[in-house]
Amino acid sequence: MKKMKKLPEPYELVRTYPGKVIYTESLKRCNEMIKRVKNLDLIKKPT
Amino acid sequence: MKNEVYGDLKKSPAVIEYTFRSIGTNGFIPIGVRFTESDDPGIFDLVFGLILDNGILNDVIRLNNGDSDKILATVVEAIERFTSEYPEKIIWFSGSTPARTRLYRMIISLNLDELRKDFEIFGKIDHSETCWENFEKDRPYVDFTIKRKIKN
Repeated sequence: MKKMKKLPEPYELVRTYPGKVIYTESLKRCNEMIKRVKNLDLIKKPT
Repeated sequence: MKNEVYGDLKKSPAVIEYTFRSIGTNGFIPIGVRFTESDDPGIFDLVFGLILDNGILNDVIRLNNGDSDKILATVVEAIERFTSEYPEKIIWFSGSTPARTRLYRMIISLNLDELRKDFEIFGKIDHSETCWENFEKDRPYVDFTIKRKIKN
């Protein structure tokens, strides 16, 4: 991805593996979306 | 019947996190960008925020460290790395506050032509039972997904 407009250079990232899943509000909403949305196939179709 | 399987399948961990230190007016602040497998193993939830002592990310706090654009650029970089390693995975994200949602929408819209070269981007206009659609500028999306295009 080229540099995004209006965004500066990023910070240095370090990758980690927390291991344990923490059920956040965001994850709950994501799972709700999977259950309820009508056209999940649109985003899952092969590119 | 037990079939033999190839042994080189690459399984993604359930949680992958990228960390960095925000450096700004309030000093050094540890930030995490976390990708967590959802109930559908093809879809990962994305959150980012302040790393607390118990490992939880606070994704609603306003950091006020004077470097919000640089933090956002770093989140974009984390998406780039994650999708390079796991191009078949879909990333789902939604702003934890209305302000964050507007910011995501604006950044995607500003860079839509460039993003579309490598990614498929979808939006959903409310959190309930509506449908995903191809991301278009000026639509009031609140949920987003992004997925790398597979190039042969």
